[in-house]
Amino acid sequence: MSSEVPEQPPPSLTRVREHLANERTLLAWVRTAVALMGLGFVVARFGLFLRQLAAERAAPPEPAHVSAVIGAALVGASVALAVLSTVRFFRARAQIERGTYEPEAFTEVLAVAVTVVAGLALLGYLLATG
Amino acid sequence: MRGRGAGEGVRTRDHLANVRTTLAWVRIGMILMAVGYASDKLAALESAGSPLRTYGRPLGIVAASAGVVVAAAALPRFLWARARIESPRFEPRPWADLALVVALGVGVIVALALLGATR
Repeated sequence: MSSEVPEQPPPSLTRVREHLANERTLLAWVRTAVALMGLGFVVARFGLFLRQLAAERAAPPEPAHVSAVIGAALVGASVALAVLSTVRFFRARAQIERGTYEPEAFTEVLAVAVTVVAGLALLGYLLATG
Repeated sequence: MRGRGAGEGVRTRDHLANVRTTLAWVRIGMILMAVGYASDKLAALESAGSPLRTYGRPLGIVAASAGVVVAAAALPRFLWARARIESPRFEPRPWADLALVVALGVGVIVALALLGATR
């Protein structure tokens, strides 16, 4: 008798909510990528603005292009995260249909690593430009 | 059965929710970094004697450091929750979350102090 009871409920019971959760996760990735892009843009453009201002009045001079390099690296990393998370979205989508979802960690590790390295670079840059 | 026992779909949603929570922490870290950077750089532009000129740089460094701590702490939190979701019982870790919130609180207080300093 009891062997007839399925070990798991049919996938249709939670299938819709799983797909919607997967979609929310993709959107969270996109928001994170956009935030990283914004951070990179602010760092790059603000450095440019400060250099211009230093030329006009007696503001402390900015080391050339450090802001631009950090900013461009952040924007590049955000594009990579957006692409990786989209690939993951489609992989998870297929896994949800099969009922064989496997959690990953690579993209999360990469996102945290990029953010922490960028933060440390930013801190070093702030401390160096007294 | 892996997960908290309500079926494969619940386990899947638990993992996806964990990813979103991690990303939310990382975004908060990024915001603190941006506030710290802007504060440090704007301080140099203020005229002598203004509070932002005096406190902008140290507060900016503190805010950016808090951002690095929050973003870095998101990874062990993610991996811990990921392992717990696979096990039958999920035990929340209020102390670890509290430590993150304290780091975040330091950043927020600094950000508010900066807002006050620009008056």
